[in-house]
Formats: sequence, structure tokens, C-alpha cells
Amino acid sequence: MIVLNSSDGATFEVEESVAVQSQTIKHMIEDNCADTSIPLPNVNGVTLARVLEYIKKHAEAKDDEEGLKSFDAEFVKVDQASLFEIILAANYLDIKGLLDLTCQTVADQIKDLTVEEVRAIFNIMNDFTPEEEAKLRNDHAWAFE
Amino acid sequence: MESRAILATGFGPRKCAKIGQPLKDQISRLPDEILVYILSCLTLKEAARTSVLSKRWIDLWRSMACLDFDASKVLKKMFSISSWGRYADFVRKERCKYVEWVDKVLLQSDKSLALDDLRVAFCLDNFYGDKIHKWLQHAFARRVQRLELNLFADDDPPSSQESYTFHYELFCLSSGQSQPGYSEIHHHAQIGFKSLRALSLKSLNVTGEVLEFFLINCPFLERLVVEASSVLINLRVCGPSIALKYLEVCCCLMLQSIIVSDTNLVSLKTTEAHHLVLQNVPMLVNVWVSGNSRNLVRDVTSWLSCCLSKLEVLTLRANKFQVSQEKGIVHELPQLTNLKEFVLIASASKDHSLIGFTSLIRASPNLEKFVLKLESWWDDMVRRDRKLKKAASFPLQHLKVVELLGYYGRRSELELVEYFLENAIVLEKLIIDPRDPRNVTWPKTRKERKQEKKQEKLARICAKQQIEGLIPSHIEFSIL
Repeated sequence: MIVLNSSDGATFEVEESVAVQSQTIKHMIEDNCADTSIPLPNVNGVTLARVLEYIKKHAEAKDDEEGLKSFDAEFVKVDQASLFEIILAANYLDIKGLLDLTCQTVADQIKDLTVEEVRAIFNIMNDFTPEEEAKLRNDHAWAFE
Repeated sequence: MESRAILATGFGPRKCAKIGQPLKDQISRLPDEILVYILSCLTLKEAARTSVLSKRWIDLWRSMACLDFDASKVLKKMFSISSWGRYADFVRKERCKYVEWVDKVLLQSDKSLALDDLRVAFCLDNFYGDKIHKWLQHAFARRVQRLELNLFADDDPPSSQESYTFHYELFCLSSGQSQPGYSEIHHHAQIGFKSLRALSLKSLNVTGEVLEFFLINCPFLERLVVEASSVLINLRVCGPSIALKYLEVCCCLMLQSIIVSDTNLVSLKTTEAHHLVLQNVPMLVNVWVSGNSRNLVRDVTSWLSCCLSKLEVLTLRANKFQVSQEKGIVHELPQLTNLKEFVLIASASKDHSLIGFTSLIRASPNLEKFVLKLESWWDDMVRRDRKLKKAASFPLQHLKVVELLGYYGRRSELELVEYFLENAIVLEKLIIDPRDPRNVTWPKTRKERKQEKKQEKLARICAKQQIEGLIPSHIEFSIL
């Protein structure tokens, strides 16, 4: 069993065979930095719990394609802030499957929206002047057809 | 604030709004690489639109490592124009637009940024030769790993004078040469092309010499696809230093010989198997071939004789539908001892019998999966009322899964179902799928889809009526 410490002091136990889905943790174990526990200062307790939920499910139900698909679909139904926390954690822990899943989720949201709508959803402040924006749209006219 | 957009995704800053805090831009917390990673899940146009979101996003999309200049919607429109005059105008206009698009994005990109994928797919001929040459130079200078160039012939094969010709000499000059026009990018391209891992060239002129040049000089080239090159006469893929694992050569009508020997090729697909010479290919386990003759089964065993016993997956496309029933020759066919999966692609035209192909199944003692893909045109969906043909009885010891795609309830299909029910003694799954198994390049019109759905419904009813009663309970039977 591997012990993981989140940034806010929470402790989690997980089987080594499951934990190595994270390339970061895998390398730490290989380099013998995992004697007592592994500190993860970049991931808070709530997020780490969710990430562990993901890798545990993907370890136990490895061959159940249908089951994993529905699990993944439910897994990403969280609020924006949590989703981005999971993305950052997946990136830091180097868990490709989780990073792909979460980034694809965000991409799917951007896909069908106009620029204004994307700004609205993600609260992105438009720091262009109207002239600057118009020029940019004109330069990339091919993208806006 | 567009409340419609927020409510629509059920995903928004309502929580923050409640406690009266200013709404936060969460997505800006993500570092650039992650934003680029998200953008690479989008099409090129969708990603480029994000440049207008805010100043931070202006150039993020330019760091995308995959550039797919996809214009399939335009191409589909183009091929559906019936009047020649309108077609010619449309083509001229759209070609200019497409070329401008690629020029703008590719030639303005950061040349030091590595490129993973480049796909250029549009009907362009030699008139745009200089442009295409420039794009290729840029791609190679950026050490492109996967390159696809598909220049779409018009309906009639274009004369080889009109097609774009791929010259490797143009960017692989020897380093001592200084010429007007020789530039830094030449130099980078000369080195960069060696990063190629996958190369796909369709509907353009590329000779065997050029392809062999790539094979020998690209130490990571694992995948090579050539389609519709009318100047491909001979191709030699020889030598253990070649990294190639997957080779595809299709629709090269002037081809006279393909020699594959002493290599570690794993997978081969060709429509020109009658010109194929295979020798010492110990890793070759997956083959796709097509043929026109009535003795297709015998032809296949002779074309692939050197690797027949090692094959694990065989896909056979029968272009003619009349296959002679080779009843007595089960002992004459060499055994495909390792064959686990056999995929048969056949035209279901006029409901001709396919039972002759079971001779190949009988010669594969370890076969576990059989898939039949029936291709038919929607105006050719016919069910004849003829007697079911039978094949020699022969227990199939390992066949567990049978899939029939493109099912329509024809006699030819029923014959096979009965054959398997009789002979596949360990059969576990029988799957009937009435949907068209072809990967159609163009999305279908609404009328076509409607017609298709009608036929699929009919086929499902047929399958239920005809087959359900015959299946013993221990076999998993599904109609998709």
C-alpha cells in the first residue's frame, strides 16, 4: 500500500498497482522516494479523493469498456472549478487517461459555442478594443465561416 | 452575461454569484500547455476562433502540434454539383480559398515548433505544385512526424501530367550546393524529414524510387500508405534496417511489381496482390488483399504462400461475387494454422452465394472470429428466392464469434448462418448488424439516411423472423 498526503494534510491509502497509473507516483516509487508516504503539495484533499476514485475504478474494471464509459461520463459532471482542479491534478500526477478525459470535456463545451458564449461560461474578460477584435476576426476570417 | 449559455450547460458561476463575489476566470489558472492540449481536441477552425477570446488566447492555437486542414464539407458540396459550369467555378474559387488557408496558417507558423501531424486534403493538381512544395518544406523543417497529403483525383483518373509530382530532390539538396533560392528552410527540411513516422500520399504522382528513398533514410518510418499513384511502377521494400511495420498500396493501376522481402513488416494492405512478391517476412501477421477472380481463395493462398501459416488476421475483399464452390479441395488448401480472425468483404449484389469462401474457413483450424461485411448499393437490395446452398460439413473447433454486417436477410446470408450453426460447435456469439459497414468518406444526405434507416428496420425484422428461432439458447444472439 502507498500512502499519499494532500496539500491540506489529508492522508490516503492506495494499492501500489493502482497508484502507478500516475507516472509521477510511479517514478517516485522507482526512485525510492516513497518510503513512508508521498507528499503531493500540488493537490488538495478533495481533488485527490476524486482522482483516486478514477484510478481505482479504472484499475478494477479494466476490461469493462461499457462500464468505464458510463463511469467516465458521470465522473466529469462536476462544476467548473472542480473540473479544472482535476485537470491540474491529472497533469501534475501525469495520468494520461484522466487528462484526456477532462480536457476533452472542456473541449466539448467550447466546440459548439460562439466566442461570446465561451467568454461567458468561463468568465474570460475581453481585453480587446472593438477595433483590435475586428482586425483579429478579419485576419482569421477562414475560421469564422 | 449570457444566462442562456450558462443555464444550457448547467455549469456556471452561480455559486460565486450567490455569495456576492466577482465571477472568476477559472480557466486562466490552467497553464499554456494544458490550454493547447484542450485546443488540440478541436478542429483547426474551432481552435483558431479562440484567438479572439482574450489577449492571452491570441496565439495559443498556433502551438497546436496537429494541423488538419479538413475541408470535407466543401468537398462533399463540390462533388454533388451536377452542372459542369457551376462545378468549374466552384472548384476554382474553393481551391484558391483552401490554398490561401494553408498558406496563412502553415507558412506563418513558428518554424522551430515541432509538428506532430499535418494533413492536407483537397483536390489540387500540379498547378499548385510550388505551393505544395513550400508546405512540404515547412512541414519537414518542423520535423513533422505524421504527414498525409491527399490530393483527390477527379472522377476520371487524371493524366499523370496533371497530378502533383512528389520530388524528393527538391528539398534534399546536398549541403555543398548553394543556389539562388536555397534557404535556411531547405537546410532544416533536409534534416527534418528524417523525423517521419507515418507518410500517406494519395492521388498524386510518386514513384517507387522516392518511396524507397524515404524508407531507407527515415529511421522511424513505420507506416507508409500510397494510393492512386499512376507513376508507381515498381516498389521494393527490402532490408532489415527498414523500420516499416505497416504498408498500404492501393489503386495504383500501372503497378508492375511490389517486392517485400527480408523486413519486419507486420501489416500489409494492397489491391495489387497479383503483383506481390513476398519473401522472408517473419513478422507479417495481418494482411488485407482484394481480388477479381473466381478462384479467389486459391489465388490468395498462392500470393501469400510464404506467410500463410503465420497469418493471424486475414481480410479478403472479393470484387466479383461469383465464387466457385470449391467443395472437394479442403485437403488441397494449405493450412492457415495461426489464423484467428477472417474478415470477408463482399458485394451482396444480386444475392449471389458466398458459401464457396467457407473452404478458407475449413483450412483455418484455429479460427476464432469470422466477420462478413456486405456492401450493397441501396438500389441493389434484392432478395432472391432460391434454394440455400450447402457446404461440406466440417467441425470448426475454435470459432466463437460470427458477425454479419450489412445484413439484409438474403439467401446468401442465411446460407452462412445455417452453415455456422451446423458446423461451429463452440460458437458463443452471433451478431447481426444491418447497418452499412463501409466507412463512407462523405456524410450522407438526409434522403439517403432515411432510405437506409428504412432498410435497416426491415432487415432487423427479417433477421428476427428468419434466424431467432434457429439459435440454441447457449449462443448469445444480438441484432444491432
